[in-house]
Amino acid sequence: MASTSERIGKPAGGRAPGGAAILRTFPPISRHVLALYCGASGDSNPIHVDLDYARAAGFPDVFAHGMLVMAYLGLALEEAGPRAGIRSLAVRFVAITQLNATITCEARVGEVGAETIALDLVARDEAGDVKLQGSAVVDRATWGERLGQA
Amino acid sequence: MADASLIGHRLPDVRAVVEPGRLRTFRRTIGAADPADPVAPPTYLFALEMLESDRPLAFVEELDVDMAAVLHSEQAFTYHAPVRAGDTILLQTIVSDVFEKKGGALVFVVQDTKATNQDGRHVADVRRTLVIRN
Repeated sequence: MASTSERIGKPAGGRAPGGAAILRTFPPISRHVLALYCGASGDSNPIHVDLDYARAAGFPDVFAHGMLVMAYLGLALEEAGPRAGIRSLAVRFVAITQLNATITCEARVGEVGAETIALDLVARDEAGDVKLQGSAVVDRATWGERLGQA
Repeated sequence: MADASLIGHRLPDVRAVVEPGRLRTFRRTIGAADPADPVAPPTYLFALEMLESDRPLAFVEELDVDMAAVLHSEQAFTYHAPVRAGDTILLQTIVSDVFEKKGGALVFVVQDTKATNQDGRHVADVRRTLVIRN
């Protein structure tokens, strides 16, 4: 099991240490990123961009859209292998992703079936705290070689 | 007040064109290698609903609770066919479950969306689970 500091900064693709099939780190989630994602995603909930609103709601600051971090997971998956073979993607939002978090997305091979491969997914911040946890199912025919399960 | 009486409630249908410019902006924002890629990324249907709806936060507003008390608990996508720039997607959402935890301190609302393209093809199923902190 690689330490957090070793995991961060590895490029997508290739087989990373610690058994991760996919590993990708995204830039820190700044206020600017949150403002851009607000516009790009149509998610206009003020809690992600308006500090006054967030404080009135009892939060110390604005925080990231869970769907931004899920988009990172989706992108890590999509850009690591044959996109057409992705059958499903599901996550649970485990903890709020704080402002300026640096997210690393990781996928590990789970159950391998005759036609499909399950991937266990996790998104962590720079402290190693789990923010999103989930799973994906991909076609073995198209993803098998990429995942060493041909 | 969100309770079991919401089960079966239909949210307003959203008919949305996948505009190439919006898709490019989304991809650029999340750091995609090729923002001009015409295929929608895995989570794009969630954004599409809000981008093209007359009431982007209808899925929260119809719960009749304080929006600041609502958090996203789970999200799932099942893909049947690609969604591409230029497609017109019909999003039909129903409240499929409402349940409580911690003696009612947390109320979970599950919303299921069926996505169909302009050819009548069922392209994806989307499941959103929200949690209301009472």
